[in-house]
Amino acid sequence: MPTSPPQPPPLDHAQVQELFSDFRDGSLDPARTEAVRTHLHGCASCRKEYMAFADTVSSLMKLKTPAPPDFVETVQGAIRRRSRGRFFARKPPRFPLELVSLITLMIMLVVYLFLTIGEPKKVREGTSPPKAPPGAPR
Amino acid sequence: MTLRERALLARLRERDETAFTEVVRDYQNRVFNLVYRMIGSREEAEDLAQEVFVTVFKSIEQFRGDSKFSTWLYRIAANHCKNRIKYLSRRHTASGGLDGVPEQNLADGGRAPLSGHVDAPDAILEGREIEKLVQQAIAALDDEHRLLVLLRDVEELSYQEIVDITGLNEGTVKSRLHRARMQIKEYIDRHTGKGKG
Repeated sequence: MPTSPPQPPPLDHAQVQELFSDFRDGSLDPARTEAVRTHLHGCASCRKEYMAFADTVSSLMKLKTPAPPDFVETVQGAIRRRSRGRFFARKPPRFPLELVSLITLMIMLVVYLFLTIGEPKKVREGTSPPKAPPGAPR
Repeated sequence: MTLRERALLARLRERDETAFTEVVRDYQNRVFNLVYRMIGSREEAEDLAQEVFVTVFKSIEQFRGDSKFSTWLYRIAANHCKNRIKYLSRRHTASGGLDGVPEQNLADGGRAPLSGHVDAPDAILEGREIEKLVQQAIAALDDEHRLLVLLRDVEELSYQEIVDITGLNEGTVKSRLHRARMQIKEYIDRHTGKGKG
């Protein structure tokens, strides 16, 4: 016969009030959420406290003060002034070191290939019978 | 980081002025609001919010992109706030609360930004009174607790973002946030006569 999961012990007033934030934020596990809900359902005092607590948090969420209308221009002005106009200046084009390195490597490779492949040919073209050792009969 | 953020970051690193303008436009209200609520003076907040963006632009090369751009920006804003609060307290000019009656929503005709309807005059008045009280309650918190409340409840950031911004672990963030919220509630209860006695 299936048994239901064990119920957590009921919470007292202080425990419930400690969990107000988590309960409001929805960050309690389901068992605890249910325990808090059950307590609030049966306890007018904690229910009243929780309502006031939730209202407080809601009031905080309404505190929005916009920046002054000219704020963007003020910030831009401050940056320009402090950098003497250099901050937003275009950076000079970067010297393409990677490209130069690659081209240099390719040139070196071509020269190497030219030398190593061209050399035997030159040797072959200039091939002459080996010189006879001195003193050998002609 | 999203693709859009990556593209924006690349443009920022090239010091593309339109990218900088885009960033200020996108984040000005959030940064200003946070700084204003942390410092409590509109004049100081204007100056400090400006400093935050100047720092962002000056340090953009140091942003490695291992967190969201907004997280990095909020971290800079939070550090600036802490430093300014220290500086102001040394000069003994820090006030205990936000200056004057909240001018929230004056720029948008007095309409609460999160409300989708027009309130009756009495409700607006009551709303402003409550807002003033909430502001005072926030100002009464210490800096650490105030920052957490602002990041979570005013800026509506996730716990993970708050962890990344503050460097605190999630458990600490949650317990401090709860304490701060309760302090604000108790402050409001005391000043509206709803306290337990």
